[in-house]
Amino acid sequence: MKMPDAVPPAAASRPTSAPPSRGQLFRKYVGLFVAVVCAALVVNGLSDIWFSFREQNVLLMRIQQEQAKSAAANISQYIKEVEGQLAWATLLPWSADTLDEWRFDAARLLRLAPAVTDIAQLDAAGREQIHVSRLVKDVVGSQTDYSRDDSFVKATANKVYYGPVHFLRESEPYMTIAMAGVRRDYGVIVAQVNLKFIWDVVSQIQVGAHGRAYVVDPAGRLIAHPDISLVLRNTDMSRLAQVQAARAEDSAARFEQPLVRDDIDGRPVLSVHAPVGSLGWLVFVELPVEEARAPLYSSIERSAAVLVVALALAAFAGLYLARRMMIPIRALHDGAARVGRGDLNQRISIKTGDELEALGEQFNSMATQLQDSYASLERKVEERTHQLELANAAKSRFLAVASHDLRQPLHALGLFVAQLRSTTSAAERQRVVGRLDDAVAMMNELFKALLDISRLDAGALTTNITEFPVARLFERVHTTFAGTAKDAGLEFRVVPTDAWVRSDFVLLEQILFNLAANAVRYVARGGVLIGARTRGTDLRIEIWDTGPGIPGDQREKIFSEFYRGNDPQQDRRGLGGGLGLGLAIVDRLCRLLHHPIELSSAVGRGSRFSVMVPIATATAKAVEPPAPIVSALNLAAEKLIVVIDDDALALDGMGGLLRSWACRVIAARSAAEALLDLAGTERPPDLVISDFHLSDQRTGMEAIEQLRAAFGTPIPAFLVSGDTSSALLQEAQHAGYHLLHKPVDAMPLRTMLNRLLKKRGVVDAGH
Amino acid sequence: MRRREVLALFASAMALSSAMALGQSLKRLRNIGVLMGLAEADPELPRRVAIFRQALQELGWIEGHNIRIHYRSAIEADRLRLLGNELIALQPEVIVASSSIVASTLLLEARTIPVVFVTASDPVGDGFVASLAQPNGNATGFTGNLSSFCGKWLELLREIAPGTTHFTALCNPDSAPAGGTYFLPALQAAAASMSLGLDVARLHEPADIEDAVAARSLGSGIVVLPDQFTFVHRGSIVESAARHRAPAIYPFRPFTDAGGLISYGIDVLDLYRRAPSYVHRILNGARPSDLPVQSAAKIELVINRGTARTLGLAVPRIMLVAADEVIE
Repeated sequence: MKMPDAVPPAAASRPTSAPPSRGQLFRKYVGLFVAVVCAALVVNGLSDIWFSFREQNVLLMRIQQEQAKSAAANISQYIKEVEGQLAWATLLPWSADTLDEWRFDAARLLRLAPAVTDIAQLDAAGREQIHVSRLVKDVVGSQTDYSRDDSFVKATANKVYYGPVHFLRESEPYMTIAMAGVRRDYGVIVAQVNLKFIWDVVSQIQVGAHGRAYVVDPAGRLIAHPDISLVLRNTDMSRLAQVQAARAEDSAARFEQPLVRDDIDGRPVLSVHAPVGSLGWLVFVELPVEEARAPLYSSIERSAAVLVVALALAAFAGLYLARRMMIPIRALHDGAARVGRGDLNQRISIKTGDELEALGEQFNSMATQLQDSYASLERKVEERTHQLELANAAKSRFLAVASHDLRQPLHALGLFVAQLRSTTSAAERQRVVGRLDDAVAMMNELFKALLDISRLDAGALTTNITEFPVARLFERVHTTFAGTAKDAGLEFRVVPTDAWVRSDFVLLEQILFNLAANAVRYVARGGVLIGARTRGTDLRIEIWDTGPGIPGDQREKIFSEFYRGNDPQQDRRGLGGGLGLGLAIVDRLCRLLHHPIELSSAVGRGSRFSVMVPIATATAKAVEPPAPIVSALNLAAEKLIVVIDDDALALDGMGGLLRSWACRVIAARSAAEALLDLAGTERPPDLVISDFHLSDQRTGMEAIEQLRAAFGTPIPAFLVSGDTSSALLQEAQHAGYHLLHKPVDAMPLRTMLNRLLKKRGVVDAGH
Repeated sequence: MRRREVLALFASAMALSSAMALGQSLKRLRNIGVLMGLAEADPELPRRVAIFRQALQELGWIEGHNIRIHYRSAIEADRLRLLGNELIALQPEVIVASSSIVASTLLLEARTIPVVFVTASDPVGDGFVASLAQPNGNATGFTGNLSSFCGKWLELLREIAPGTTHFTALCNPDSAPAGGTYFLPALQAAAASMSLGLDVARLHEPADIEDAVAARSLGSGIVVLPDQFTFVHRGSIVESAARHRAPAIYPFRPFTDAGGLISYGIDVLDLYRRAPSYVHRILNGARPSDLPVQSAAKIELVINRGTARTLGLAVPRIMLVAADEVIE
């Protein structure tokens, strides 16, 4: 079976490139707009229709009611008028004498009441005395007995009698009205009233376009109707529901709703009725339901038409508005996409004059900001790289110079050692050893200077601010340099002063030493003067020299590392001990202590360095300056000292030196070895000296801790290390250990020894 | 789109309405015919036409707008028949006939065209309708003077001319309602009941009028019966009566207008006002068989005092009171 060609799966699973929301917002806006408009219109239209329909129904009903009542009133009035005319006739007593008068009255009555076709006078006994008619010959004195007739009986009883509607000559509606005379002996007047005239009343009632009004008698027979033929045919309306209801209900009953019933033709109509006074007739006013509802339907049609038109308008408006709204949104979208792709150069332009325009401007400023950030970041990166390169170059240069400078003494050292080996005479050997010392001293100096710089850069130096008399400082300077200066034929004067300053004694001493050393080194003749002058709240310590001076363009540069001035000849000291670091150290120390340093110089005349030191606020009690660490030779004697170093040579050297100081020494390569060696002793050692980096990745600190733990007492200890990095220094300091850098001079070693041994029992854990 | 739909809707609506308007204007005028038995110079003719047209207008039928009325009128029977056929040929939707003779002439030919008789005293007797309430044919209309009026006529004439004991009735059997058998028996009965003498003069031609009036017994009153012939020749009758100094009672008001002494009868012009209601119903689709025969509503008593004076008669006060109009 052959497999059908497979669709590359990548193509099948590739996601659609267009985001799903494209166009949906647009459609949503349009849809929402149209929907809102339509909803509003529909609700409005419906409520309008509903309320207006109800109102209209009520209105129609009222109109119909009014019409019915008015018609009823008209008919009632009509009959009452006839009655009224008849009443005149009843005023006369009947007697044979009054015949002519009576006939006059009758004639007048017939004139005034065209509906009356016959008038008869019955005497008190109910016998007809005279009968006047339009249609037939008058009859006088017939004496016909009507005493049993309803007309006579009821009229006599109730004053007025309304007879039922009857039809003469097949189709003429007539009604008998009988009225009793004002006095009993006047008898009764009986009149025949043609009801055709009522048809005019009914026909004149306008009930809409196709509505009708009609009258039925109490039996439900039609008395009057716009269609006369119905009346003439003696139509019986009593089958109609509304007629039955009307006959059943109380004549004074109120009705709220027009009834919807079928009329005589079977059409549904709104039917309202009103009673006609005491006749017991009912006037019906009926309006076909379609006619009543026609305005409703036309209103619905109107609303529908308006709705359609409005829908169209709303759709257009919605499309237009949504498009207008979508354009800026799309611009924002495209702008954001471009930014996302990394193209920051484009700016979007939205001019709608509203929040969207503000948003566009924000967007643009954001893009600008991004561009600027990128640019500045790049710049900064370039700068840093440049700086790093510079620093790197400086470091390389530093290393190069340092290694170069080191080579000299090292070279000399090698030569001297070789010389020593081959020299036999003691005097010569002594001389060579002296030279070896010099070389070592020089190397020491270099290393010390490097260490100082390193420490200063690391911020590892903490200042110890005290108030002390400057004179003490000057004394020490004088002590240190007077001899050397005198050897060189230079004057070295120190101006006495009794000012007190607030500073760090040791560091200030170093500053002055370096400056003085510099001065002494570079002065060929003349001398060095050190003095102090008060300047406001500061004391200006000045070091004058009559050296060659420093040209203007070099005044900044001399404070940088390894700068030695242009002329190496100016360096008097044969060994070239000046490495150029002295002033760099001074600079850093001054910065650390916040003592501004100034230089003024004249080429060929000399230089003056001055340091501004704040004057002590109050003359404090003469506080002894921190006692210079005096080395007490006997302090170290007979002490047990543990030395740990993984380098055999260093270990050997250190051990030898300590033994020469009459210490008992345990030398070990590691803490474990040391513990083994210490196995027999009960007393804990007096001091532990350990190299920082030991074998097996251990640190000296760990070794010391091990020993301390083993003996359970905090044995005094310090570290030595060849690693001059400031990180190490900080680590040691942080842990609370002193650190001496290799190569360790004897003096500092002894000093540290004495210091720690003096504080035996008290662990110097942290400064 | 939507716009197109709306435009299409508007266009079709406009087209429809314009078509309807056009159709309406092209709709033919409906024809009705009116046949009367009067002389063309008869002053009654324009009066009737005016009232008839006015009443039709009130019902919404305007000549030249939605209806066309064809008027024909003649006195002699032959010509009447001719004109009747003419009208029938026009195929009107309804023909209005003025009196019994006109209606019967018309109905001989018109079997299906609806006929409305303005006044016919005995439509049942004349065969126009089956019964007053249900005509059951193609004719309907209004009744005129009733046979019961005969007694009234004698009574009224005796009242205005007291002492008159003998009466002569004038009628034309050819044109009288039911060939004269409607009124004459009633008149004879009434006369008998009042113990009055009665002669019947049958007229066939206008010349017979003078003869009949002259031949009557002395002091005899004249009773003119409702009849197209007598109506048409009312002038001659009144003249003859005046010449022979005979008190006469007439059935219609135009007689007294022409100089007759007294008239008591229905108001014909009022019927011309009411007839259009039936025309209207028929034009709107009603069938004559469904429309019952109505009776006249207005009965008027008119007295010509001048004539009374000429005859040396004093009108009793009560008659003046009872009269609807008194002509001087």
